[in-house]
Amino acid sequence: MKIEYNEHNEIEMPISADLDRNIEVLEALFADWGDIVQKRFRLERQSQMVDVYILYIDGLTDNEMVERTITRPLLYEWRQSEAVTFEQLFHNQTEAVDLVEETQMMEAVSAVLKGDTAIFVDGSERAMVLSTKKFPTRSVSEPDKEAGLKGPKDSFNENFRTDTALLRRRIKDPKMKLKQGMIGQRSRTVYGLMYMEDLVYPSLLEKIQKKLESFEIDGIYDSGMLVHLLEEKWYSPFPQVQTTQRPDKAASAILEGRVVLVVDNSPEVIILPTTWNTFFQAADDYYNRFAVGTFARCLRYLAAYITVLLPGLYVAITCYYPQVLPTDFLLAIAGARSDVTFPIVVEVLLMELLFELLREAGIRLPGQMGNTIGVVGGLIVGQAAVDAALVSTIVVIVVALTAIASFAIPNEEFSSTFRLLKFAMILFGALWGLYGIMLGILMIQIHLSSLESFGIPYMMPLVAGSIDDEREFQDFVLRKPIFTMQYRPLYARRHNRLRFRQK
Amino acid sequence: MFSENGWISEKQVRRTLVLPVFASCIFVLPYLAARLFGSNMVWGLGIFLLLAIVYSSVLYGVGRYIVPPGREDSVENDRRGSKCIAGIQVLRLSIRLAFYILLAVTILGEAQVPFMRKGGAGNISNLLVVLPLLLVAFYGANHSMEKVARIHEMVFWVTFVPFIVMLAFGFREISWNVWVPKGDMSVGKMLLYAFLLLACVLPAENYLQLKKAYNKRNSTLASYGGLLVTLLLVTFLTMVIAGIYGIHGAAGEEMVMISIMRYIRMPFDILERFDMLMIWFFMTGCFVLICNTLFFVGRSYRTAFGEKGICWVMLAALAFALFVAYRFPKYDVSIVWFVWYGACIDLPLSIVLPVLDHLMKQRKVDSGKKKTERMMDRKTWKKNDSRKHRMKERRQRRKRKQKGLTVTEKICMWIFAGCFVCIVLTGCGSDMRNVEQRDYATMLMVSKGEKMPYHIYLGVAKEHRIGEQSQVENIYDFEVENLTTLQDIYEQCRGKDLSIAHVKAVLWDMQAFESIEDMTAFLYEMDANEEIAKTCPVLLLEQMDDWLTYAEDAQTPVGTYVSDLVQAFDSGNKRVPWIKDYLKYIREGDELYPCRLTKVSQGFQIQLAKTRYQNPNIE
Repeated sequence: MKIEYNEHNEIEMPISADLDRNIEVLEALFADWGDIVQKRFRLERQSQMVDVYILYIDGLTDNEMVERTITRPLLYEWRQSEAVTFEQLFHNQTEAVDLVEETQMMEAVSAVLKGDTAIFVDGSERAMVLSTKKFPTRSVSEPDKEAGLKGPKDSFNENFRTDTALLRRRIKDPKMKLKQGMIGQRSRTVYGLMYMEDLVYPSLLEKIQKKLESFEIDGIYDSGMLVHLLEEKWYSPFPQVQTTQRPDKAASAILEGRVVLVVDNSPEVIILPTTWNTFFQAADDYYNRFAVGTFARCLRYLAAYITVLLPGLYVAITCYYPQVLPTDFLLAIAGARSDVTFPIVVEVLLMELLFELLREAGIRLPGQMGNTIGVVGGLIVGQAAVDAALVSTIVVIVVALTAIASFAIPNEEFSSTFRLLKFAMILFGALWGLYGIMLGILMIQIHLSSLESFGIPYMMPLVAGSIDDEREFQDFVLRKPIFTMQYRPLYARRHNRLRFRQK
Repeated sequence: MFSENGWISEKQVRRTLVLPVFASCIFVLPYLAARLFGSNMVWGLGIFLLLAIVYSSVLYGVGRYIVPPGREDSVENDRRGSKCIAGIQVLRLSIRLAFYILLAVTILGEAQVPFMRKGGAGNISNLLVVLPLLLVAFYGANHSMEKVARIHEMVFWVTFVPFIVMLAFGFREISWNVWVPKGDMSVGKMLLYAFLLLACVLPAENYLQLKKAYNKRNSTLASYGGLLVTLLLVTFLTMVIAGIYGIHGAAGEEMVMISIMRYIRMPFDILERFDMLMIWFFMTGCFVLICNTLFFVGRSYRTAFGEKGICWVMLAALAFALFVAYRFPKYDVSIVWFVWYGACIDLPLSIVLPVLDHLMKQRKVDSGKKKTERMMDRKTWKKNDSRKHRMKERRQRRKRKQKGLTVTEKICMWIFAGCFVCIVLTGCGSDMRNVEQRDYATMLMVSKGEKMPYHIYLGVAKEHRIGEQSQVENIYDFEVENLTTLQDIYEQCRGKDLSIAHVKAVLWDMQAFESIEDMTAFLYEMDANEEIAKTCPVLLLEQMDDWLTYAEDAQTPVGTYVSDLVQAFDSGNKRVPWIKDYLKYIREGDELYPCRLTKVSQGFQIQLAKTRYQNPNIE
C-alpha cells in the first residue's frame, strides 16, 4: 500500500471504521520498524465480540502500564459485561486517566511516535490514545554551564515534561500558562511556551508564536537550533535570545513578564525577549547580599571590556602610542620583547589562537584529560614559548588575563561573542592604532543600538528609557537591594509591574 | 511594547540634540573665540551665549508653530514637503558636512592618529584615513530616527565623560585672570563676532526635525533646558580652556581642544598621558557631528522624495562633502569661510526654510483634501490614510528589510573592506613600530651648537630586562637645527626611532642661553611637537660640564633622577615650571619662577633661580 504525504509531511486520512483498513495503513507506515509493538486481539463479551488493535513503540512506552491499564482490564476484568462499544471502552473498561480520542490517522500516529499507545476498535472511526510515555532520560543534575555557589542546584534536562515540571514547582500560580506545539516536519519536536497570563504582553506572545510558525524545518534537536531561527538579525555576533540551564533563572524570567520556550530533547530553555544586561545577570546575584551581587556584576562588566579590548589595546598602545604608558613599565615591555622574533601583533595573535585551541581541546576531551590539557597548555607550552622567544612574558599575562576575564561572563554564548570580537579588535589595533580600536567600538555600539529582541531594544535601559524612569536601572550594573526593586522590569505589562509591597 | 513606532522619547530628543551642539561648539569655539575676541573674551562669550539662547528660543518657537503639541505628525509619515526646499536643505547640510569632515581631518591629525600626513584634507591619503570614520557614520545614519536617537544615547556619556575628567584634572592649571572682564573692543564688533560664532550652534536646528517624532506625552521643556545647559557648559568650558592654555596661545592654536591634553598631567602617574582617554572624545565628537548631519540630509530628502534612493543621496552628499573638503584644505581659512557662511546664510535659512516648508505643506494639504473629496468617497480615503494602514505598511517594510543585509549594510561592508585593503596595501601600517624598535629619551639637555643652532644631549633609557639590577641610560649628543632633524638624525645613526614622549626633564645650558627670551624659538618648537608633553619640567643648568660628567658616570638613569628631584621639590608649595609655564610666560606674560639645577656635594639640588620673571613685552 502506498501512503501519500502532503507538503507538510503529513498524511491526510481519517480513521476508518474498518479495522483491517486501519491495520493495513499502519503496517505500511511502520513497515521495517523493528521496535514497533502491534497486536490484534478479540474482546469477547456476553452478547458481542469485537476486534481491537494496539500499537506502541518499544522503548518509548511504559509496557507495564499498557499491560495494567489496557490489556488486563479489557481481556479479563470486563469479560462478563454485556457488550462492548467504543464509548464503553473509553469511559469504563480501561483504567487510564490520561486518555484521549483521535479521529485523524496522523494524530494517532504522532502520538505513537511520542511514546503513547494507540488503540483502534473495529467499527469505530476513532482511536483511543493513552499516554504511556517512558523514555530513557537523564536525572535532574547540577547545571554545568551556570554553576553558582548559592541557590538551587537542579537544572533542566532533555525531558520536556521534567523541564515544565521544574518550572511548575517554582511558580504555583494558575496564571502560568503552557502553550504546547510541535516543530520540525520529521523530528516533530514538542515545544512549550510558558508565561504568566497577566504579565506578558499579548503582542509579544503573538510575535513569538508567529515567528515559530513562520518556517518549516526537518528537525530541531536542541534549543540552540531554534535560537538561530528566532533571532531577527542572523548576522549579528550577539545572541538576541537567552538560554539557560537553571530553572530558577527561567522562573524569575517568567515572573518578569518574559516568555520561556521549553524545547523537548534540550537541556536548556530559551528566554524571550532579552537585553544586553540580562547576560551579565547571574542567579547568584539575587541570593547574595546586594553589595556582593553588585560588586560581582561590576566585575563582569569589566571582564567583558577586558575580553574584547585588552589584547587590541596592548597592540595599539605598544605599536603606536607608547607615550601613554609609564616609562618604567614601557621599558620593561621593551626588555621582555627584545629577544622575541615576531612583531607584537603576530605574537598576540599566536598566543590568542593557542589559547582558543587549548580551550577547544579541553572541551572535547573527557573530564580529567581536559584538565590535563589546561595544565599542559597553560604552564608548559606557555613557559616553553617564552623560553623559545616565541612570545614575551607580558603577552602571556595579557592573554591569560583576557582568558580569565572571558570566563567571568556568566553566559557562554555571550562570552564567545566577546572572544570573537577580540580578534577583530586586535586587527583594528594593529592597522590603525587607537583610532582603529575606537572605530571598532563605535561600530559595535551602532550595531548594538540597532538590535532588538522581539521588540525590546537590546541595549535597554541604556537606550530608549524614559527620562525619569530610574526603575529600569534598579537591576543594571548596580543591583539594588531586593526590597527596593519594587517594580518588575519593562517586559511586564505597564499596569502590572508592582512585585514587592511592604506589609 | 517598545517595538519601533517612529516615536522618540524626551530623553532621546535631548541627547540627539545636545551632542552635536556640544561637539561643534567645543571643537571650534575655544580657538575662534580667542582669535576673534582676544582679551575681550569674557564679554564676547557672554554676548555669544545670549545670542545662542535667543536663536534656540526662536527655534523652539518655530517648532511650536509648525508642529503643535499633541499632533501625530511623525517624520516617518511626513511626506508632503516641497521638493525645492528639501533640495536646498540637502545642499546646505552637505556644505556643513564638508566643514565637519575638514574638522575631523584636522582633529585626527592633531590627535596624533597614525597615518595622518601634513596638508590636512588636501592630502588625499588623509581623506582615505578618515574614510572608515565616515563609513561608520554613514552606517549609523542609515537607520530610522528611533535607532539614530539610540546611537546618540549610547555615545552620550562617553563623549562627555573623558573631556570632563581631563578638565577636572586640569582645574588647578587655570589662570583665573582670564575670567576678569577686560578689553577695549567696541560693542558692535563684539556683536558681529558673537553672531559669527553662532555657526557653531547650527546643529540646534535639528530640533525642528526631532520635534516631529516627539512622543506627544512628553513636553519639550527638558530638551530646551538641556540645550541651554549645553550652551552654558560650552561657554564655561571655553573659558576654562582659555584659562589653562592662555588666550594668546589658544588664538594661535587651531586645535586648542586637542593640544590642551598635553598641558594637563594625570595624577598618580597611572598613565603618562591623556591621549588614550581623549582620542575617544575626539572620535565620538567627530562621529556625532558627521552621523547627525548625514542623517538629517537623508531626513530632509525623505520629506519630499520618499524613501526610494535615500541611501544613494546620502552617499552622494558624503562624496560632495569630501570633494568640498578636499578643495578647501586649509583649516584656518576654511573656518573663517564657514563661520561667515554659517552665520549669514545657513542660520537664517535654518529658520526660514522650515516655516516656508510648513506653509507650502498646509497649502498642499488643503488643495489635496479638496481633490480627494472629489475623487474618492470618504471611507476609502480614511482607510488609505488611517494609522493602522500606515503601521501595516511599516511592518511589512521592516519585515522585508529583516530578511538579509540591507543595502546600506552591504555598501558599508564593501566600501569598508575596500578601504581596509587599500590602507593596508598603501602602507599605512608602515607607521607601526614595535615597542622595542624605538628608543625613549628621558632627558633632553639643550645647549648652543657650533655649526647648528642647538647642541642637544639625550639621555636614552635602555630597555629593562628581567634580572637586571638597574636600568641603564646612555647619553648621546647631536648638533641639530630643530627637534625634527634630531629625530631624523638619531634614526639614521642608531637605526631606531627616537621617541621624546617620555622626556622627564628639559635642561637648559644657562651659559649658552642667558635669558629666557633666547629659548623662545626652541620652546615654540617644543609646543608644536605633538610628542613631547608640555607638562615636562624645565630646569636651568649653570654648570653644564659638571652635569655631563655626572650623567656619563651615573649608575642610575639621569632622567629618572631629575624626575625624582623635581618630585621632591614639588612637594612643597613651590613647583618647577613646566614647558607650558614657559610658553604662557612668553605668550601671555604670566608669572614664572624658574628653577635651576646646582651641584652639591652628594649630587644635585633644585633651587629657585630668581624670585619672579615677568615678560616685559606683554602687558
